[in-house]
Amino acid sequence: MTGGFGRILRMLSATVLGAIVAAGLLADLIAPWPYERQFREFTNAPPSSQFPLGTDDLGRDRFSRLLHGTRISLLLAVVAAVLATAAAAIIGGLAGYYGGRWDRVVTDGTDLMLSLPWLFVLLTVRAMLPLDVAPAASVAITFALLGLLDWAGPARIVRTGVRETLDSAFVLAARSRGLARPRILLYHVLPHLVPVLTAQFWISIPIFILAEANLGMLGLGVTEPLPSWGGLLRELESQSTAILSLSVPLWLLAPVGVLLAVVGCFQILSTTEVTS
Amino acid sequence: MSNVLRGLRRILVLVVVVGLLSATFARFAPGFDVDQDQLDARRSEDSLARLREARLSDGNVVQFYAKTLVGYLRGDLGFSRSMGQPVGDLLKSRLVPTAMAAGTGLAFAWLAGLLLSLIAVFRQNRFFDSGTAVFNGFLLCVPASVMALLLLLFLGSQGAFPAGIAIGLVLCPRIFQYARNLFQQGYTATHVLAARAKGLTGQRIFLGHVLPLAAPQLISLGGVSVSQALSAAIPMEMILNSPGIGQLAWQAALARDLSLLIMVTLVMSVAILLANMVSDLLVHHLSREQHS
Amino acid sequence: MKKFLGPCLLLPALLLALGPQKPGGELRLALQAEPRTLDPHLAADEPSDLIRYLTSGVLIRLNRRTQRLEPELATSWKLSDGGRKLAIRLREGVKFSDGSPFTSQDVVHTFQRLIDPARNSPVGDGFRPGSGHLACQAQGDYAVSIEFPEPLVSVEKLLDGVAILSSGSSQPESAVLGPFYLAERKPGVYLRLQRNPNFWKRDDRGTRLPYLDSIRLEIQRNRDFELLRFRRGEFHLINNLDAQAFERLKDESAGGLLDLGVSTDSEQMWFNMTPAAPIPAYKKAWFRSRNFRRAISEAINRNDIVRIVYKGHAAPAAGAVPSSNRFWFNANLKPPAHKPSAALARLAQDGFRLQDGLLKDSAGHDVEFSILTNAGNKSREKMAAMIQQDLKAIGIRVNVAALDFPSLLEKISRSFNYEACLLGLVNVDLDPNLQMNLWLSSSSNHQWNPNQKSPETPWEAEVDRLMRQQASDPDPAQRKEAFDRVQEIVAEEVPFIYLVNRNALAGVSPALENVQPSALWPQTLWNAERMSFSSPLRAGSR
Repeated sequence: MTGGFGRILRMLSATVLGAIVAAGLLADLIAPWPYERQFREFTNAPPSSQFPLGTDDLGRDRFSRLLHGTRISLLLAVVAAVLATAAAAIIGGLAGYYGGRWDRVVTDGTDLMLSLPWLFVLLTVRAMLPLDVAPAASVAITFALLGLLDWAGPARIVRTGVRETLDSAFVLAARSRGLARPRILLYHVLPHLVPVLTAQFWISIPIFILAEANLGMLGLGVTEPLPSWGGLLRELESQSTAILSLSVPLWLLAPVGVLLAVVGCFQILSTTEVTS
Repeated sequence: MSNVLRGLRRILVLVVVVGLLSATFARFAPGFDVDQDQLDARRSEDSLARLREARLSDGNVVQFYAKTLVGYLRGDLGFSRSMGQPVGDLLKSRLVPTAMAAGTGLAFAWLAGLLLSLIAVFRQNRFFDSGTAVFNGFLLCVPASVMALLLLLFLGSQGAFPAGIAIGLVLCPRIFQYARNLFQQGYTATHVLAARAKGLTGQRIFLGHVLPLAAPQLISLGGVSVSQALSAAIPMEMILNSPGIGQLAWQAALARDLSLLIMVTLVMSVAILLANMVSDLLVHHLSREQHS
Repeated sequence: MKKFLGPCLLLPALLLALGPQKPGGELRLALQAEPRTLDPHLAADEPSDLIRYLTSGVLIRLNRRTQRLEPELATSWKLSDGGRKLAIRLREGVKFSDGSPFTSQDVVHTFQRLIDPARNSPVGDGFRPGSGHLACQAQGDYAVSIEFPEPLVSVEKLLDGVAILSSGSSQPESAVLGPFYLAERKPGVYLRLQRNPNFWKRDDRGTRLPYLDSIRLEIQRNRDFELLRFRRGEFHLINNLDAQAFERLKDESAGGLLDLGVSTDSEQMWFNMTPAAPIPAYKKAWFRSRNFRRAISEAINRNDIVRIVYKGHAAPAAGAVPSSNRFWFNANLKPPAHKPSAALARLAQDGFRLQDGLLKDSAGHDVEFSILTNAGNKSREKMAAMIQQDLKAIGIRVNVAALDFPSLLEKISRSFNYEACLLGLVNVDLDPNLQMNLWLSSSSNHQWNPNQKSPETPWEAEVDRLMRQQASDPDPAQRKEAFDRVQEIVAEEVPFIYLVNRNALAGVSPALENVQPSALWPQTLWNAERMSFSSPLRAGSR
């Protein structure tokens, strides 16, 4: 509608997103310090030329940690979101398409997935991993688990969408014209699912990033000294009194800012897709 | 009516499966047969042995199922080891805060989510669109604990109501995102474009064409959002000190308190299954009406 | 920083000197969790124990300020027959909260209940050193004698934890002898303790204690919210503040903050020396080497931990007993200094060598191990990260694994599938007899290598011998000598690498008077019966 503004906004979003991804990928080159190095004489330091975003409780450079955290979290969260969305699409899609017994099995399965206490499965998985599992492997496993466990809700919605589409006049028409099943799925059903799947995909990314940090309670997720966005965001918790008096030093909010930029840019890019 | 009965029968079967599976999960989770009391340096070896014995009496899962089932049939919900109270009493006092919190959260999230998405599709305004994108992004990006702190700051209290608002803030962006995407798609559908070309008013296009297209999936989302609200209740009730089922679930899990845990899981699963059943029935009903 | 705290410590003493006590008011504070039991003989978790402390009467109490025993329901006592017999004279004219009189029958009932194996009371275990039975007999209405099957030399100290129950009441919480009784409970929300109108103690002017009308204990899990509510005046007391929060409050110049000095809590790390542990044999060999353990201990910078993790509100630990435990602390022991080069030299004695910045053992294995700790404890996670960096400096790679508590317990007490563990001991009792199960090699709480059939090392055999000797020696000086030696052996052999002793940090509302905080549990609350509000109006308004 407001074409010029939309285009500029889109380009801007793409640039910001590209810059963040590039910064994450090139963390080793850009980061001024190793992410685990503790400058014990400079704990909780404010930003300076030496430490662009200051240092954390243990004197580690926040900027370097943010860069490395970006690489790990962004990459893995996207992979996990793809995993969850694909599982939802395939499982929900098949149930909706074939109906009958398939449908019953899948709905029962999704309902079980939604009701069971998965916490214990996560605990058991952690117990089966060795204690000296490398920090990077631990994060990767955590995101994989998140991706594998969080498809049931969207699968249910996908299933409804597929059933509706199959019952709709134009698919009935296509069927009566004798169109092959795969073609119907690809050209008529899938486009109808795009809004649900994109919604799920974009929401999943920040949710997974935060969930990774919460799984730290169970011994999953990132371990010292590796940084992740979730872990960096959780450091905000220790600023509770500052938050309560609304006097959080701005540089501490950098991880929220970057995550927000990523999610916002994704959103802007995705809405353009849908409307155009 | 027969659909409802069939649905209820299915729920009954699923609930039994959930109970069996969750007991099994908990039984085989690490740390089931240990107790923090075992680190008590005052305890003698005899006393430690007795503690272990008591702990392992729940150890055989099959026996435990049988014992628990018989108890349930007699109306005895068991005794919570970690809280030192009968499970029935614990649940009774805690159902209301969670029902209130989840109810508040769902109402808030659906109202806010639908309203925002409606504005987004009605007023195709880039600024507004980016604005809501950023706002939703913010809600998605803030850790639950920080959100709870901010709520405490603005509402000045803790308990079921703030926990409800917190749940609402967690769910709102999800509902917004789904609803907006679905509505937007509705507007691009061919027959809606045709209706537009015929010069129908915005309201009539929305109510007559866009909403019916989006409704089934939104109703499904409605069912699923109940389970999302209940899982959001676990951290929010913990952080905002609301003595509900979610808080109980977390404590039971950390203490590996089998009797309590199963009952909490069952209560939650009944709510989730009922919500999904109702949404399925609604969708079914709608599509029959539409196609008849 | 220390200078700053001097005036803070004087404050309560000054308040004490102010005018007459005004009764009334409700004291409000937070409990971090729901009490697991209301049975005072079963209390083991902190909230249950606090309710036990505030509601029940004991025969003898440990004064948390002087660390000396004081008569409560017992007016005098005498331990004879080498610690086998305890004769107690009881206070007369005392009534339970329900109005029934307190007599020797109640004491007999209490002990019978306490040592009942079916009840499995952790307090009762202390009175059963061997397999025999304790016999408690009434000698008239106001005297009892207790005979033990084996000498129990520090039995008076155990009595500080024994709640005396009424023989006429089946519910232990319905008739109490403490300053308060449990009047109301809303599970998950709060407990309200009401002033016991029959409490026996009076102040110097003859006014019946306690001054406070009630104590409201609100279940408040989130410590950030507890802080906030303390700042708003909704809570009057806050115990066990963590150093970060303490410093932040101080920055905001919130009043009433007290650093009570070193507490009895300690943070320590140990290596898994269990022979059956499912870990590689070469690692077991490292962990069983004294040189290796001492080198690790020397490579850790305790001063940095104190400064960074505890913001100075802790002390580097010298050994098993913190300096706050005045009688039993061995003043000859000093905290190990941070000497990475000495650590490397010590490791070289065992054939370890540094190669390209990595430490290798004599067979060429890279030296790396994992430290297990409990998730959710921020101080411990930070300490682990600091130890990681300290050990990296001598070429050791450390992995930190934080697990939820039951999973951790399973590893350290069942499967023994761990390499090193970082954990703390809290609210440690002052007397070594209450730590017997930690030191005896046969015990399951002998963390580094539990349940030994016979001591596997000569030094553990010596520790066993000294611990048993001090347990039955009636002479305090000789007991002290034996336990000093235990502390020295532990410092030499380092089965536990003691890191720091936390300070007890507390916040006390300026409206409260007569607070005599102590670094010993329950810190600010230990003399709750004498606390009062400077003005009842102020207490009521908030």
